[in-house]
Amino acid sequence: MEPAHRPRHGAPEPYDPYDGAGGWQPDPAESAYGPARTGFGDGRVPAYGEVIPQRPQDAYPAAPYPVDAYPSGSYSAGVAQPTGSAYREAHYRDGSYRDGPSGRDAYGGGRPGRNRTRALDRSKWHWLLFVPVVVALFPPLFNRIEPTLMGLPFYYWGQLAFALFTCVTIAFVHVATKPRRDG
Amino acid sequence: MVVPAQHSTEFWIFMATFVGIAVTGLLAARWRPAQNVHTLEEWGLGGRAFGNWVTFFLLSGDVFTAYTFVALPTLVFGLGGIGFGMTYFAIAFPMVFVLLARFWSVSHVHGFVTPAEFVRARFGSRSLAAGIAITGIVATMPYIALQLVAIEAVFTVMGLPRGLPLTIAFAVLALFTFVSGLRAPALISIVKDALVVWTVLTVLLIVFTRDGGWATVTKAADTRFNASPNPIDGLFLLPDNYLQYVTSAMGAAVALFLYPHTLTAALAAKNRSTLRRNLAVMPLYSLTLGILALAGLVAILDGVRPLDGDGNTVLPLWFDKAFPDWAAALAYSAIAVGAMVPAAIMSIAVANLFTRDVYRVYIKPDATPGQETRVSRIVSLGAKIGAVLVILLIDTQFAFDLQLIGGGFILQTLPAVAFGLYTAWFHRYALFAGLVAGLVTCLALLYDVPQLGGPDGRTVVREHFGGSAWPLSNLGIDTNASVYVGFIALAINLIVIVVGTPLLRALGVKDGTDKTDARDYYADEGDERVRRLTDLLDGESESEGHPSGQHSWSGRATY
Repeated sequence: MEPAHRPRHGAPEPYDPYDGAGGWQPDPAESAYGPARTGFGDGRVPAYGEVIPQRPQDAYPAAPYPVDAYPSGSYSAGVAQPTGSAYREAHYRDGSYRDGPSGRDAYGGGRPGRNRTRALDRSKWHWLLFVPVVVALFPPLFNRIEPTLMGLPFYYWGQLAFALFTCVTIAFVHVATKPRRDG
Repeated sequence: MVVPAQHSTEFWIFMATFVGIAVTGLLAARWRPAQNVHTLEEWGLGGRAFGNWVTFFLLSGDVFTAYTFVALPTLVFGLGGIGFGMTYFAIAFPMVFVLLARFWSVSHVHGFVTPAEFVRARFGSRSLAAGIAITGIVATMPYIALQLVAIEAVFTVMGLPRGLPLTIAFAVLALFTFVSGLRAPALISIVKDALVVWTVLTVLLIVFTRDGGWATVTKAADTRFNASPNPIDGLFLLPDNYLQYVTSAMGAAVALFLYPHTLTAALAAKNRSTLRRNLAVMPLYSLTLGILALAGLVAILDGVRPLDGDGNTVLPLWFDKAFPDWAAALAYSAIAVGAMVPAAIMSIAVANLFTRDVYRVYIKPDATPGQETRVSRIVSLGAKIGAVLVILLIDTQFAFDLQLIGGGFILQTLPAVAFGLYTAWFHRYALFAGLVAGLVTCLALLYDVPQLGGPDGRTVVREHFGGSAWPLSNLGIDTNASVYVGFIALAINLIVIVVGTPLLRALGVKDGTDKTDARDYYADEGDERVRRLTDLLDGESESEGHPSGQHSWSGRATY
């Protein structure tokens, strides 16, 4: 589903959150990575800690649109953030939605079932990956003789078995978070 | 060349395998040939087209190097429990599974071949990227030399002379890497894995058919460790060694992701799912390493004495003693081939780093793909010649010292390369300062660690670069525990970055431009964002494409 105020992908005119007022415009002749830009939407570099005022249409809801729901990084969910987020906000305003001249979202946005795959490593299943890591960080757990396996102390065979366990854990997470392709 | 009399069977079987490998490597260039061979992505990444099996073989050949196969049993043989570091994989693979997938995606969208290119795009700093590239090169070069050490150990046990065989082996390696690029190690790694699995099965067979099985083995080892006055050795870990054991494992696990050759092999996978699937089953492969490490304990029982005091000969010597001749020959081949695969990938990774992050940035910005490939080929050749010269002319110990330093060095690229996959918060100059601070700390601390040895393990054998364990008592804490040096350096690195970033922003120093998009980190082959590669290749939809799609295939974005 798409929020109403988000421009539909495939709309005839390119998405322009700045009403043509100095924002970056897609230019077919220019590579997206062409001449270096400051990267800050209206050409103004905000000081650290400064919040550039938001126009209402700039504020996307953080959910349920999954593409917007990234946790961290250079680009945060679009809602204006109260303090100290100008840096990330500015990055966000750096045409993070660089729709090409075709006006299509790079992920065929809006098509049901596709966006879901975007949040691949946001899945909660990934927390499972910490289990083998944490166990491995506590040697007292496996630094012991008993139980022995065919005469081999637990310290040795346990670590080998643990490799198997790690494998099963990762494989499970992989399967649980695999993108489901339509069709 | 004189065929060693008492090892003639082993010698001829070994030679036959070796010739087979050489031919395979040279013919690899014809395997799935590309339309345009003279691009770096063809030579250096095999056209980014390896599927499930090949990716598995390539990655396993890359991560589980011959040197580890030789060095780990030696460690277990010498020190017991503390050498048996299988937990390292339990830390490494879950982490790598998540990080490499992100790295693959962003690299695929932007056509990155090296981690430093990613850093340049992410933080907008050429000098930072060059710093990362040079750190990567410095860290990887000694690793290539260590693969030579592994081959040398096999040659020593077979009774071959030192110089010529090693030179021939690496000349062959250099030749097929030059011709076939990443395709050569990819094909050869299939042979390597077959040989390794065979060797491991032989080890198990031999131990299980013996009287007493593992019980006798561990008993003999325990007796020897108890008899030795060295306080570090023992069948199990001592509580004092926990911290060192854990921090080393963590350091090595993180380094596994950061080493440029791991990233090179990962980028050669054709899509994200292929990569993830293969990383998921990769821990299985560590079983082979674990069982070979246990062979170090069996070698104690069998009374193996290292040849000429070279600890690395323990495993080959035990093969010689316990295996029938023909099986020993196959095991030797496994080590030799297992050395060639990673050495080839490492030299390619070094070459790519130089070409993409030094040559094309500072020397010839308008280099054509053909020129890039030529430079890479020559540099990969140079990397191998350098490794051979270090081993033959200077000293094997020098290679070990460099490797020790390299392991700590590569860890210092963690904030830019790994954290960079999640955030662009860091200021580029803070990252650079952190990198430099980390490298300097690492070098200074390692210089201060003396090598302890002698019968009681407390005599100073060598003043400097004696190990990577930094005693916490240096801080005035009353304890016998020690920490992995790379970790302390990384902590200082991170402190500099975290303090420096807000400071630089407050001073108004300009940030670099982040040229990646959050969606790049999730992209997969089938996605529209990446699918344009294929479109562009077919010459269809240049006008229709997303602007960022235009450079993706050629990887020729002007960063």
